[in-house]
Amino acid sequence: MSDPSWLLDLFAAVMLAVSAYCAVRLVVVRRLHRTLHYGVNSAHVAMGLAMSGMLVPVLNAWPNPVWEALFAGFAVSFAFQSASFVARHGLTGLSRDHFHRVTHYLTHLVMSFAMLYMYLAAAPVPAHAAAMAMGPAPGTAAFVGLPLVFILVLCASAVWHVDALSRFTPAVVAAAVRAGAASRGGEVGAGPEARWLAPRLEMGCHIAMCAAMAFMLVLLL
Amino acid sequence: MNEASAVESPVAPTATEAPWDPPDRRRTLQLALAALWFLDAVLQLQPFMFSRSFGPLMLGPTARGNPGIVAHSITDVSRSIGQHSVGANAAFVLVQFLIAFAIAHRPTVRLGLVLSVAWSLLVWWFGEGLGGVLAGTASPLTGAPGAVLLYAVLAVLLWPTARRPAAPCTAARLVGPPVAKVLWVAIWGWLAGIAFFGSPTRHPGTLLAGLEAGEPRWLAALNRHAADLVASRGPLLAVVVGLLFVVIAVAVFLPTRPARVVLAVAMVVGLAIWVVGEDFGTVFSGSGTDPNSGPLLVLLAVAYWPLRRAGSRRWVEAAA
Repeated sequence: MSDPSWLLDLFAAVMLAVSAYCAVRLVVVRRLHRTLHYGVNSAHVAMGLAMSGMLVPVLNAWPNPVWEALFAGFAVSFAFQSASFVARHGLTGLSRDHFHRVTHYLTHLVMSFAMLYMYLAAAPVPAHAAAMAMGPAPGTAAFVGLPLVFILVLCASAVWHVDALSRFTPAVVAAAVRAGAASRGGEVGAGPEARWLAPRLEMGCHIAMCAAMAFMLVLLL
Repeated sequence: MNEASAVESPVAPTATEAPWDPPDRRRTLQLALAALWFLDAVLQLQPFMFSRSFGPLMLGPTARGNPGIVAHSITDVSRSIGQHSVGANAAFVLVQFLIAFAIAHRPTVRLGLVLSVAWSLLVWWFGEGLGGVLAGTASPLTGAPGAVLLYAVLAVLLWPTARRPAAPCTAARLVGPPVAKVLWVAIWGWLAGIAFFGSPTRHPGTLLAGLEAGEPRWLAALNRHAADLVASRGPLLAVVVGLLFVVIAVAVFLPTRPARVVLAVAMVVGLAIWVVGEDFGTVFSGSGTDPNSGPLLVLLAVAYWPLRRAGSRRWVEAAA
């Protein structure tokens, strides 16, 4: 059993789960009076679905040109958000919620480009093939350095998010909420830490997505 | 417990609870080390690593030239991995992901660094044949003294400790400036030694020419040009590179400003070795298991970068 097709199935299942979970987040966030990044969660939904379709072609929901257009749209959106973030907060500034830097948007910009690259570079496979035999398409050899850059960014982003997990432990969040209330003159109310919907699970989704995407890009090297 | 409910039911902070701080220099270096382990795990997921050829073709040849006991152990292990290729490789992937996550997760960073040292030493023995040190095949271009050994060195140097907050550089926090300096001199001095006196069969021209196979066209062309460039200049190149490594080795004894210049040169050398000599760890060939020693040499130089201390003029003085 040297064929790692089970590995492709495993990653596809994880990506479907991530996609479904992020979709649920988008649906319930308002009902729970919480907040999240709509753009990022929408991108996670699309990327999870698209990657599961690439890994197991039978799960592919839409034709490739539709996906390509969608991720081109996400790339433009994240490029715009990165630029406006820099304009508002500078290169080293923090967002209004004190969580995110410009790297948050840049990482998702890179992920959108990586998705585009995968659609453009992967060799086409029959629609109903059992599992995707990923490999670079002819003519993409000249850009083979590009996925390595994507992979390095994804690895760095994954470990950076693992590091930030401990920022959202209940105790740390409680301390931050109290500190926030004190700075607002004792006014009791949920600070940005407490309003964020399940931040550790969102980070977990991002980490899983980075691992899956890096794996798929490695297959294209 | 649901994340949302965890946020809604705050736990009273204890006296030992510390607020979350953004990563400082040492933490950033730890995260860089974790990112490299993460990359290793992802590379280990390549189809070739799950095949029966991985053990005998990748690990087996590292036994060549080593003393009997070392060679036999490598051969036995590589054969065993070949027989249980899928299970063995899945375990390797899990271990490397585990190390990456443990280092990156603050509460488990110490466990991660300990695992990093243990796994590095195992891989150095069974996966890299002790980096060719005993076989006489070591070369700076092939990742001497064994890329994975540098993971272990960095794991020790980046150990989280409250000792020596005024250390002259991050690498000296745990072991102190004298030991940190000895390690730096040992690594670069040894590289200088094999540049001066290395085996003639490990001529850079031969090594570079041998890298072409399986690489993308642009990288193969770079290898070819580099091989042509050094082909007829073997002895001269050995002296120049050896002297450069000696200068880098003594960087830790220099005043702060020149030390920074030489450490910057060390980073450039690390990158040059990675690109031209190691072909990015041969990751484009489908059989690269790690990015090799280039990025680690850069990381090491960052860990030795003299920190700005008020009134300190020398790397050495700041330690006092």
